[in-house]
Amino acid sequence: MLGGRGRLGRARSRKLRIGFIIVAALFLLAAGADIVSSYDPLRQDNEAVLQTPGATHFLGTDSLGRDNLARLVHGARVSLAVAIGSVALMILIGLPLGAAAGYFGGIVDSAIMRAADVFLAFPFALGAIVLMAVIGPGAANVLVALALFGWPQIARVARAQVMNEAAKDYVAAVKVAGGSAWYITRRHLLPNAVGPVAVFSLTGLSTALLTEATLSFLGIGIQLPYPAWGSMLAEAVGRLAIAPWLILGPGVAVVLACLGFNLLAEGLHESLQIDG
Amino acid sequence: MPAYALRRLLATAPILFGITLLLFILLQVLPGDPARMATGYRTPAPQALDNIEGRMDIRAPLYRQYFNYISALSRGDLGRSYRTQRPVISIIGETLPNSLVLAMLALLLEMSISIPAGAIAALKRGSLFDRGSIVAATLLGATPIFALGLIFQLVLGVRLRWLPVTGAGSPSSYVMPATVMALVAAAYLTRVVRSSFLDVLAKDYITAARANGLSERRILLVHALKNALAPIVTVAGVHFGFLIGSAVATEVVFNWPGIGRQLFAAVMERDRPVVVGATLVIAALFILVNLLVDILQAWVNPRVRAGL
Repeated sequence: MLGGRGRLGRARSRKLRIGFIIVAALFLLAAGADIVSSYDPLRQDNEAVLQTPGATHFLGTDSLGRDNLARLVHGARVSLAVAIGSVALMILIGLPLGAAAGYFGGIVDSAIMRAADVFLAFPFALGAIVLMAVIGPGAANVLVALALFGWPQIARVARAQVMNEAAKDYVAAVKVAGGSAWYITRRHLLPNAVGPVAVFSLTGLSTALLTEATLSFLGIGIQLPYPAWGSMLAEAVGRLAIAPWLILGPGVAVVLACLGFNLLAEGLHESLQIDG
Repeated sequence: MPAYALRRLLATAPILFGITLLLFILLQVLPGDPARMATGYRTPAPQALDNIEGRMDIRAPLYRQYFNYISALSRGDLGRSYRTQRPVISIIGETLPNSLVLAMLALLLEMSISIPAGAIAALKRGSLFDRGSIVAATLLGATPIFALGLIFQLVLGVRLRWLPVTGAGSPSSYVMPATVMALVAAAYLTRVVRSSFLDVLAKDYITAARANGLSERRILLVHALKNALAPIVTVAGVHFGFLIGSAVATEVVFNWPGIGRQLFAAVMERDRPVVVGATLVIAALFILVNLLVDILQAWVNPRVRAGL
């Protein structure tokens, strides 16, 4: 059903499969970070500063002697957790608000959409940066900041879906038969809204990841000494002349993660469309 | 058409108002002690701190401060930087044009890459070019801008020494930042162009034109392009906003003297008026661009005007 038959069908589900494999691999690495690397990502070792990739340290060490591989996989944990957490929060805020706006219309719709517009008035990364300036750095704050500027887009998608669905005849029939607003929403509207919201959320995951990396790179995201791909990149840039290999790990990791989420999103989008 | 434009303009007003309120609250909540900052964190006499705070109306009740803030805004006064005491509006006036120039350049570059690439990909659907460009676009779209910028700096600036790595000194220093921004944005736009062209090329009037014997080139340039343009224009407009928004990271990486770098420096230094002023200007610009894109869309596609 998801793949479809024939050459075109297989090609379409290929995105879904590749994306899924990449994302699953990342999750496994992040979850099993302690297994992948026995080093403590925070432990400094002044004897082994800035080592090239080798037998003892697979990806080398950073300027304080911390093992790069350990920092990479533990950084994966934090970065992925923040990205997923922020998108979950976005959905938690945006889905109900968007659905309410779409279903009730009128003043509820206007109020919610105006609030959404105020947050949408800021470019995403910019809003996050300014908010971080107020509430201070740190993983939890990044999560909140991302969610605060991301929920309007989820709300819009949910609202559009609910409006489309609520206009259909069968909903009017259920209303006439005495179905409450809550029942209609839960049983009919939300299940149909879930698809596009899910696709959009997956794209949102890669945006959240990129923005978190940018924030950490600028120094206002996940703070040292805790590892994060963005700050690892920042460190790598500072040491480019003497240790160019430092940039490989986090760079590839970020691109791969975003690629995975994007492919997953597109694959899901395409398979949903085939189903109609 | 003018009615639609007016309606959209009026709808923007409350949003702008909401933003000023939000930013005013931000101004209050942002950490930073203006009086101490102005004296340079030396230990001044308490009387000096008193005088400065008196002048800055920090101790007035909040609603009065907000009123002063709005009336100052309407006069174009965005306050003074805590650190340098220079008017925020001059700081913005110096830095914003640099960012805008970069954004425009990036947009032009982006369109000149995406539109031909997308069109050719659509024409030669399934070919190596098509699939190659999709792969390239997907990879570029997954790369953070600052990472791409760093790679460019490393390869083109340091290793090969072809282009200057930072600053805005010579014309050649525009190349890398603009190219990096253009590439990341082009990743998305190329896909939009491609699917838009695919849609149009499948239409009946194209087949009719072919049957009438028009050359492929004429069909492509005259008929297909015009009709494929609508979503392309929308996305390009949205991308201008995106380019402005991503200015901070890019300008920090390339040390570009634009409003993004200024904003970031102000955030680091806790220079509240500059933070708020710069954010306000960028947000207003963003809203303006979105508004123009909406109006442009309505002009091109009359169906949009009906539902507001």
